[in-house]
Amino acid sequence: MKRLIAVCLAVVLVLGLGGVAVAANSDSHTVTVEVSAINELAITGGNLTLAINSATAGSEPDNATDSTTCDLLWTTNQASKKITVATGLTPQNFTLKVVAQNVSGGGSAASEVTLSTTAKDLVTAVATEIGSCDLAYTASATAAQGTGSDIHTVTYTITAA
Amino acid sequence: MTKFLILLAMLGLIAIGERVQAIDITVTGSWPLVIDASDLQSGAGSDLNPTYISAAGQIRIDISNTNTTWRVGVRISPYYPDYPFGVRRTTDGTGPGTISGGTSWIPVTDSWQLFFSGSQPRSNIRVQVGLTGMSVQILPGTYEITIEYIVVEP
Repeated sequence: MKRLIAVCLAVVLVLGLGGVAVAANSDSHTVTVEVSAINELAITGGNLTLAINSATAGSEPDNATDSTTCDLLWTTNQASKKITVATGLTPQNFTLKVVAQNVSGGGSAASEVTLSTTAKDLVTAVATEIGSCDLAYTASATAAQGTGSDIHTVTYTITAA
Repeated sequence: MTKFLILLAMLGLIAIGERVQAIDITVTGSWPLVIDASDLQSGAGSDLNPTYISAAGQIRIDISNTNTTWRVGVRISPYYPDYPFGVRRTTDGTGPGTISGGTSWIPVTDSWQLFFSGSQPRSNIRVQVGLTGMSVQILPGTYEITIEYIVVEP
C-alpha cells in the first residue's frame, strides 16, 4: 500500500515540477501597413520660350529647339503605367513637338509627339520606379503661317498603360 | 518512511500550485501605418522614406502571475525580408522585480529571439516598433503583420 502511495505521489511531483519547467505564455499585436498608390510627376525648369526668328533664304524658317530647360520627374509604385502629354491650346498657329530624351528609371521613350489636345504617349513601360527625362521641344513654322505666337499649357499625366 | 511520503506529498502540492500560477503576458496596442505620396523624400522623382517608427509607447506589455525570473521573446509573421521590422523597449515599466535588455533596436524575424528579461510581475512596459527598407518597389496594398511576444520562465 505504501509503495502504491509513494508511486502516486511521485507522479504528482513529476507532473507538477514539469509544469513549472515549461511555464510560458504568448500574446501578439498587429502592424497594418497600408501602402497607397503613388503616381507623382513634376516638371522642373519652369516656362519655356521658343523663338522662330531665322531662316535661310529660299527655305522655310529654322526650327526653334530646346532640350535643356525642362526635365520631367516621376515616381510610381504601380505597375503598367505610362506618361502622356497634351496641350490645352487649340487651334494652333504653329507646330510644337516634344520627345523624351535620356530616360532613366526603366521607362521607354515614345517617338516624337506633335502636341494636340489629345493626350499622346511620351514615355511607356513605366512601373514601380523613380524616373526622369529631358524634355526636348521643337517649334516649327512655315513662311505661309506668318507671324504670331502660340502660348501652350502643356500637361503631362502618369496614367494606366 | 511515513515522513518521506509526507515530504513528497508537500513537494508535489507546491509544484502543482506553481503550475496553477502560470506566468502571463498581455500585449496591448497596434500600429496602423499609412504610406503615401507625402512620404516621398522630395516629391516626384524621389523614393519613399525608407524608415518608419511608431510612437515610443505604441505597444504596452504586462507580465503577471509570476514570482520568479522570466524572458520575453519576439517574432514576426509574415516576415518580409525586403522591409524588416525591429522592436525596442522604451520604458522599464513598474514592478517589484527587475528588467533588463531590449533597449536597442532588435531585428525581428520569423524565429523567436530574446527581447528582454526580468523578474517578478511587471506592468506598463512600453515598446516601440519600426520598419526600414520601404521603397516604391513595394506595390500598393494593405499588409497585415503580427508581432508575437512569448514569456518564458525561469
